[in-house]
Amino acid sequence: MDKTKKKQITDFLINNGVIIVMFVLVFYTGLTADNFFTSGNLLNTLMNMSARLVIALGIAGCVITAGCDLSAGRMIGFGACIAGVLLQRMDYSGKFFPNMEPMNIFLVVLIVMVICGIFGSITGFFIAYLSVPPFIATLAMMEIILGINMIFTNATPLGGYVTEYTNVATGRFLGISYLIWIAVIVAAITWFIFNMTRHGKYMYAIGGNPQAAEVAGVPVKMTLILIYMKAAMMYGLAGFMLGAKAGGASVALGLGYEMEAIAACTIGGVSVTGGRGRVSSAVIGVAVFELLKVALQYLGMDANAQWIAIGVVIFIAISLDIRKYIAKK
Amino acid sequence: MKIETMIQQAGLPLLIVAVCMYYGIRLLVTQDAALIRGRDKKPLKDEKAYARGGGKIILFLGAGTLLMTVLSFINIYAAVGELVLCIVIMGIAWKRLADRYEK
Repeated sequence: MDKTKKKQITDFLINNGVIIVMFVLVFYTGLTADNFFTSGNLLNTLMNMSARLVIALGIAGCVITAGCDLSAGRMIGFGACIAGVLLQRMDYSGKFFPNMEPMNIFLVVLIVMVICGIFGSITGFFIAYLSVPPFIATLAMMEIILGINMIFTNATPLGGYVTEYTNVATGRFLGISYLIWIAVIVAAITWFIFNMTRHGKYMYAIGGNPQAAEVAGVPVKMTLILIYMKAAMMYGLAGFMLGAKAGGASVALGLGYEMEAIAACTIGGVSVTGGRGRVSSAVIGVAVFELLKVALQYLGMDANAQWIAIGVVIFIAISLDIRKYIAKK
Repeated sequence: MKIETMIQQAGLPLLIVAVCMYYGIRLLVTQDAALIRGRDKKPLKDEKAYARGGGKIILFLGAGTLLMTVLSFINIYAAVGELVLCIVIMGIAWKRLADRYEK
């Protein structure tokens, strides 16, 4: 075989190794376990994927600009808690605001996204105008959100939601859960922003070479603020979705989700070195991650050992991405 | 409050302190600005000085987080207030560092 072709095949196998191994695992699980390849299991997996996809789409914007967002997990918990306190039943004994009627659910989504967006824009300001590295800025914001959430909820778990809120997770339209529809709509909007708007072009330009982008007239600072604001709004929405699914919320909700989201994006093809990535990358990455978890459950792997498997996947995915970047250089 | 509860509550902030200590000390020792500075950014007048400055700021953030952790067991409002102040100071310090050493 031609040496170049052999090298191309080798590179393809290495660069997409994680996805290939996942598919082999999923295929093996389907053959050995009952009820794996069923519509019920598929819909459950899609439901589990939905909130994580929204998070991954938010973080993808940050990663494309060679940044990261470590505050995602805490922002998710914060969003879930805000939604939770505004949507508790009047007859619930532990109601946070005893005299307040539960609000309209669409208004609550808007409030959650606006509040999280404000914190995201503060993060973006630190990164864009104060030149703080994204790692440090988002680490700092993570701590602030944690503190504010603990003050706000007094570290008390929330529950007793109105039926309209829990129906977001249990209700269906055309046989498909509302959560899946929300994720699809967010993915479509994100695709539009990434591919059909000037803001999307600016994102990729900044990720490719921020200096060149600035010289070319890209409003780098404002774009960065918008990226982190948009991401935070998505985390708030994801928190709302997770709160509906869980029927409750606490300060700890969403903890660690940012690492999974970054890894999912990397598996799917969003580069941590910046400048590359698509919406389909996030979708593929999240799907691979969720299928991995479900397959491991069906194979009877210990729940604690699953964490190790996920950690190994994250490690390999990011290593392969950096290898691709170094090979390109 | 039991020791186990305190460790549980302080676990994540202490991890953040450890991360800040690691990066801060590493920057001060190796003086490698590439550790915190992305690629294709504006060139620096003095990379080693920038790295040292960045290391000190990150250590300051770690110290602020540690103080916040201790304060959170006394008064949560004071803890959050201290953390916000610490982060604002960090932001201003980083801006001044960038203005001083970026070409």
